[in-house]
Amino acid sequence: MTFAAPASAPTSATAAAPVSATPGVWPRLDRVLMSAGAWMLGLLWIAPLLYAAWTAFHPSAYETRFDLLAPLSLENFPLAWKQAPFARYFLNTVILVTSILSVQLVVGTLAAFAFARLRFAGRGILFGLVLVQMMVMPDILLVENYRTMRMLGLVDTIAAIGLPYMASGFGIFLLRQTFMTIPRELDEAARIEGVSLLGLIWRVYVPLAKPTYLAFGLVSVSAHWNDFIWPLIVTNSVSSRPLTVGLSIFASPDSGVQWSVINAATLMTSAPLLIGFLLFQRQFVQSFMRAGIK
Amino acid sequence: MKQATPPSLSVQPVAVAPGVVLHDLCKDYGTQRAIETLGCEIRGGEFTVLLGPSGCGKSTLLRMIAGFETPTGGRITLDGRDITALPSSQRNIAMVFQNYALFPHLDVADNITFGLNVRRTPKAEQAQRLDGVARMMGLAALLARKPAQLSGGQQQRVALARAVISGRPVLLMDEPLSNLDAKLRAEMRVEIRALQRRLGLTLIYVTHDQVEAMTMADRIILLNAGQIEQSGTPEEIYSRPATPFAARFIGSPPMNLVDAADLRIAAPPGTIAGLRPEEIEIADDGDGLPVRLTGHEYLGADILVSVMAGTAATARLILRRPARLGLPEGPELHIRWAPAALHLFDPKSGRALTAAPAATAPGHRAAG
Repeated sequence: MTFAAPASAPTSATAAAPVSATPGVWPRLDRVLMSAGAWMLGLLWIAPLLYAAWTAFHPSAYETRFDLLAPLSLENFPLAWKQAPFARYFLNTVILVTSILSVQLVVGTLAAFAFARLRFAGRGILFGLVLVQMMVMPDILLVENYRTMRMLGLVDTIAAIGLPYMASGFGIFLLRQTFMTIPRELDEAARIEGVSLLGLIWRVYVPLAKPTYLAFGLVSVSAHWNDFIWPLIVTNSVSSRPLTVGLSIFASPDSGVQWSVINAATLMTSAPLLIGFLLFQRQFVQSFMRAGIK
Repeated sequence: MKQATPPSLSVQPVAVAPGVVLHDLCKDYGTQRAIETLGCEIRGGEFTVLLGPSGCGKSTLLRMIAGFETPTGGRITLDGRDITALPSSQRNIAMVFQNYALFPHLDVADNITFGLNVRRTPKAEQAQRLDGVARMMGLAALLARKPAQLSGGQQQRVALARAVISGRPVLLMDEPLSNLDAKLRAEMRVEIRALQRRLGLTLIYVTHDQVEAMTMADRIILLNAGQIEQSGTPEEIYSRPATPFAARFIGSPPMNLVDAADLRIAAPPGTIAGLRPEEIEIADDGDGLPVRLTGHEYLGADILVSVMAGTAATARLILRRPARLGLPEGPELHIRWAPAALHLFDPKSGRALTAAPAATAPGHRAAG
């Protein structure tokens, strides 16, 4: 279900045509190989999705049998929807993702502004620590995080899933880099008019960093929508479980492996992100380009 | 101003704009001294230009007045009030930046009213003042555009409008015309000057362009290496430069500065003699200082003639004369000048010597 990163693979076909004065066989061959490679990668990436779509829209008899004339069917979807509390899982995931993102944006904006434009003792060391956060794999901290959540009495809550991610080092870093590119003169022009520090952030820095916010928002939402291990560990009940965990329980062997229904559920759970990305594809790609993320 | 219909007087002339006084101001960056201890008075309601080559500290000075830099020592007073420690917003000043510093995400109207918005001026008053300023600056048709959709000159006008709408009596400008092409720059010079007069603003204007300084200023403060080289009206600085630096910096082409001995002027050794190109005449009667013609430059109305003077013919002089008189027949010429046109600079202090030595030198024309 990670589709944010590999989406750029097909575009690499346009890169790196060798510079040759005589149009010989080699450059053409090279281009053919390049586009073949790009297609391979693209197909490899989309294959599971195609398989999921194929099985979800056909009766279970066609799970492992490919037949173009197989009868289409929509009954897998209501079947899946009824077998597990997906509505609740959806709600949990939406609450999770929006609360993480909104706290990340507030914390990230304030921290990034401080790192970019304020002078205070220990700025370098603190920023170094923020960078260190980006270098540590979150999975290493699973046990420690669980211990912290238990101490806080938050185990098996949505807050527990989100809390470890709410101060995002990546978000702070990204926004700081963007803020530092904003000309100081704009800052001064606003200050001379008498804006407060928060007013300055809100009226000048935030609007000018919009592409970065959009790009970071996409990364954050898709990462936490798809996050699995941590929520699996920290949640035990329907009321706190996000979609990913709910889906995995639904698809576990003891509930009987029926791929058509499982894939229908998979499509349902990933649909909001897929559709959202397809609709706003152009804006997202532009934001990524402008925010300098590749 | 274009379309100079008097607007609805929403921007009224400042009654008596306050002056700014710098008391023993200095600024260090680390161990580097950017501004030597200096003091000067910028009079209220006047157009003062801080002029100097790049790196002379003129922008630093302006930024200290604006409150973006803290002076290492000294005080700044505005209208008698000490503003050295006040934040920019409380200094009662407005500023136009070199790159205009327009907010790219706001349209022209929102850019102009940004400050009013921040200070929570009532919407109705904002609209009224915006209307007046926009008409005065010829921006009425552009209010809905984003800065990126404007030409350089239009952006400049928006920046001016944003500074003017605040009604603050002191306006600071940091090289505001350096991003415009020559023709537009000439237009904007006139516009800015007219605006300053009309609103009676105390305008402090930083530039390295002596033409801007000469054409716009009531008073020029000439800076060099963090020090005030000379201050005065453009006429004063042009006609009585205090130092060789001032003599060379103002005027185009600059004043000829040569060793006094090369002009056969009796003066202590090392004395520098200065002559403006237009003050030197060709003596057709063969009387005067002998020189050798080395080249010329045709400028249309005028012609610049290069000659070499001195015993070893090493002192290069440029003289300006109307092109209709044509190029004098060379290569051997004689030149002369009025005694009052000669500037002498002390070899030790580098300051101008007030009294020219007795007019015994051969180049001197009979008084007249």
